[in-house]
Amino acid sequence: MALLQLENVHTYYGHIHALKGISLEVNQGEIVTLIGTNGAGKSTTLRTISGMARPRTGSVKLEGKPIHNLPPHQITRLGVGHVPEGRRIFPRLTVRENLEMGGFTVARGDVQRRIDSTFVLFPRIKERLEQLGGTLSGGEQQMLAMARGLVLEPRILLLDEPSMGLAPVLVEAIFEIIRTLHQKGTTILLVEQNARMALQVADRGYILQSGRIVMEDSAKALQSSEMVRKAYLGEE
Amino acid sequence: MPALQRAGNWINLYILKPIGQILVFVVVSAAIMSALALLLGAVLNTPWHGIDLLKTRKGIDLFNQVVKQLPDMLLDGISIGFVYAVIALGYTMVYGVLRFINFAHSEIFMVGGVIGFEVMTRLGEANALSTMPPLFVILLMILMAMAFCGILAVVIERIAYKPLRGAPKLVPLISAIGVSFLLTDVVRAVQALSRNVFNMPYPLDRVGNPPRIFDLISFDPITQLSKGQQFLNPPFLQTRIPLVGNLTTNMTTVIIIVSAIIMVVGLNYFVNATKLGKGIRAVSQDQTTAALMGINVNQMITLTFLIGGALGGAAGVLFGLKVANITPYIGFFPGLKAFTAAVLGGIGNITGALLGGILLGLLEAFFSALLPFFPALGTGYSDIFAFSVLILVLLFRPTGLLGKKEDEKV
Amino acid sequence: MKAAKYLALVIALALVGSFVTAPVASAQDAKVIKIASHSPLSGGQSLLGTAIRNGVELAIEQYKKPIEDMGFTVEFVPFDDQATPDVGVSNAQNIVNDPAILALVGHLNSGVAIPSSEVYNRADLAMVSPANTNVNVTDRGYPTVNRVCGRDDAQGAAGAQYAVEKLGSKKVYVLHDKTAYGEGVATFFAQAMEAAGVEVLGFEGTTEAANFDAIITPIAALEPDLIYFGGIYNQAAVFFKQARDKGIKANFMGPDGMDGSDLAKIAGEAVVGLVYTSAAGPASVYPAAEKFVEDYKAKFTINPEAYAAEGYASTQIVLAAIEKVLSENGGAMPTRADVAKAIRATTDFDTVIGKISFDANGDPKVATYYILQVKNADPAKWGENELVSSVTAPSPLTAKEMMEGGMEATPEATKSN
Repeated sequence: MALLQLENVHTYYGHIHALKGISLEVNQGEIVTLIGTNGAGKSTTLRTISGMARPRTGSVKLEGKPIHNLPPHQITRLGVGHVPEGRRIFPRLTVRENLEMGGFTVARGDVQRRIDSTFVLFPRIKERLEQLGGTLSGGEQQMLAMARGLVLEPRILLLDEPSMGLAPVLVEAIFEIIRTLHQKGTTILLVEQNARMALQVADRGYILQSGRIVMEDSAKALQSSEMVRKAYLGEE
Repeated sequence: MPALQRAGNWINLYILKPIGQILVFVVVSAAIMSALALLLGAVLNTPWHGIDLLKTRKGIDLFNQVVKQLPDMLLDGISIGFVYAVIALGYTMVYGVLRFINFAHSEIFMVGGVIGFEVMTRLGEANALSTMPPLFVILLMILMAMAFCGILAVVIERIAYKPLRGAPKLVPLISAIGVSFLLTDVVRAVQALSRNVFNMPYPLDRVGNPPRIFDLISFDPITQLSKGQQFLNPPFLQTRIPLVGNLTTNMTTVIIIVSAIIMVVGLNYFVNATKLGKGIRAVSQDQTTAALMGINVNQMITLTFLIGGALGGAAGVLFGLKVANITPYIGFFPGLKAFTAAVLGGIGNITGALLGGILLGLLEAFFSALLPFFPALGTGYSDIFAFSVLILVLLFRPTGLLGKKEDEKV
Repeated sequence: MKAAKYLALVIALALVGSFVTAPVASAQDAKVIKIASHSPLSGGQSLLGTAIRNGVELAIEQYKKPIEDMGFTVEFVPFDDQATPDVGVSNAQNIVNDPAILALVGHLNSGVAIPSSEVYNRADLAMVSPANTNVNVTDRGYPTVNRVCGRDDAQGAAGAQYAVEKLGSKKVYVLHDKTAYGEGVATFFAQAMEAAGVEVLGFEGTTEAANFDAIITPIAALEPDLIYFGGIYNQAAVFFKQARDKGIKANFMGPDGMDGSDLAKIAGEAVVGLVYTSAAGPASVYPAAEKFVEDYKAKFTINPEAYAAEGYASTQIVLAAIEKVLSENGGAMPTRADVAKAIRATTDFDTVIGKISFDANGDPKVATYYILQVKNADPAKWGENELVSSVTAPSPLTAKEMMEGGMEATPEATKSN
């Protein structure tokens, strides 16, 4: 059974029909990437999974149990970690407090240990612990957002545009971290505009166009697909 | 020694530092106000200016008068300022989390005063008021009011605000004003039907006897309150507490200031050091992300109302102890002033509410106590002057005194 | 959430319903004569307002028989002015629109009585006031406005005389509540004190109801030997209590607005020794009042507060006047103007508070001003306040007539201590 399964999900924003029947699945230990242009429905898909948007029809199942009627905080408690687009660091909480919020649902004794364990991947964060979140640079904020998501030790991590607005060196670093997470066995659903990088780390991928999945395959196959190369990888 | 060191750090961070900050606020505000008052006293002492409005009463040496009244004005201002600050915390916390002014807060404060009255009166009816330890009586009043008003605020939120959460901003505001009227009239009706009273005087004189410790220190029993009657023991709440030099204040003032400081320090600890407190701060900064962290946003909002209501209730009791009489209409002006204090300090900002409360209390005390010496003005104009200062401050700092600083917004 | 919405709806409907079913004036039954009372029945001054209401109700019950024998039903309609001018005036509009209401007893507060009586006067509706002492109530010379109590000019002067002669006051601080009544009587008091050579350290108005700290501070610094509060007990009590708590040792004094047992209930020991003037004596000074007090207690199970007897007396006058009009016009429904005329013509009429004659302005020709001292912090013993002095003085019009008649017009102290 797939860890996460979406079946024929329709999501609306007011009158806007954002997702028009999305079906996808993510298996234990996989990195799956969603690729598409702006407005294709990538972020909406993640928001629907984590409960911030509610599907009008269709189902979202975690290990076979429907979760689409639960409020966001309960979905998080089931182990769905969502690192939102634009990082959404709490600007007036310190870095330490931001991390603690990531472990809000975790038993008190475990939080500190888990925070410490994120420092292996994000050593820069450790130096900034007492600083306010709002004072970090963009790259540091992205690192913090991911570290905050990992404190939950999620069963599946939803990453929304982790490389957006970052310098190339930092983009490399972020993807390196994603690769490491993958090796450790973390299940990731990755939304990226940088399709090339995304397909390099992912096992499988889905191509979204205006709220519909138009193609799904292994990352390798997608990389070599004519359509994908033209439309998303910028190759002639 | 790491445990000891940690304890030291903890005391430093959550006890000494906030108390130090409060002291700094009090001392600096008091010093500035005193300096201004003395300066004005000196400048306006002689009618050199020819402005009728600013002419002082004949035979009054304004500078002398300022000097004579200074300690009282400071104590009055600081004690009412702390009450305003505790009420303002309720406004500012709810605003921080929901960006919504809970106009019913002034009536929650009033209900706190009524609960204090009920506890005191019932203890009195059971003949327990003079035998129970006075501080215990007051603690009981405060705790009961906190519990009742905290729950009341939560219930109000559930019934009157939560269903309107998605509505345009003005709608819950109107609802709050409606709740405010409703509470006033419910209290009025309940007290009229159950006790047939409108005024709810606190039986303050009946609270206990002074504890032995004050017998040892030199205290001045007010024996000649008025001709022909004497207390066997001075009422506990009128026990004079020596300050510096000849200056004394009464027990009520000390209780108000100490309780208010405990509440502010406690709130500071809760908000900055506990998981739930941090959760509230997270919700106030970004509700959706907070939900993604697994924080139950509704629960945090409920908690905010609970704490805000409890603080309002406690402030109601402190106010009742200070003024000795509560009526169903008593909430309006202190509520308005506390709201002003919250705005003055920077709404949404806990430290700002404290600073704003103390400043407004001092402004009010100074203006009311000095305007009688200007026959063309009179004490009735004190609010106009106090609020003019507010407008001036907001013209130069629209976000309030501490609104822009990166302080904890809750 | 749904439930909450429905609850709100039900409450709203219930509120609307209660307005709709409120008693509506029935104009068609010409055989009904209504007497209204109009005083604060809710709020901080309801103690005295209710006393007036009760006094009126009791008098109607006891004296309506002669009128009912002439084929009319006498009904009592109480109104609540909430001690607020706006409410008084808007009630007044409703009152004058009910043709069955032929006369009215009210108000407690001069600040309410003055604007409301403008409305009554336009409709020829007679008002007999049990309690309004402000000079402007009658000095407008309206044919419809009368009172059974004294006036603030005389009351202020009586208080000042006592303060100087008996309390030996040299320095006084005067506060008032910024209402027509409070400021009026405080002004007369302060003028009389100044005329007697007493230093008036301050004359301040305040609407503060709770925290008087900042107002007390300059008073404490000026060290007056007497503080006078021109206002009503509910506000004054809080002030006096806080002033004592702050160590002020001056004597306290006030006008008839102090005369409510809530003063002692709120201020406790702080007001023991307080002296107040009153245009209404304690029941004990009226020989006829003994039975009234008994009847009042029997009907309402509480002691009559100040102005209960005055409300009763006012109603006695009103009922006698209506009876007279009825007997003169052969039992037809009297006009308001006739009733007003008959009330104004009241001469040497025996009421529970003594013989009353109105002068051309509606003032009692002679009024007695009582000076009382609070003796006990227990509100239940309010009735035991000691009458320390009383002064009888003619109304200004009467005084003028007496002058013209070459008679002695200076107020004369009849009793002292």
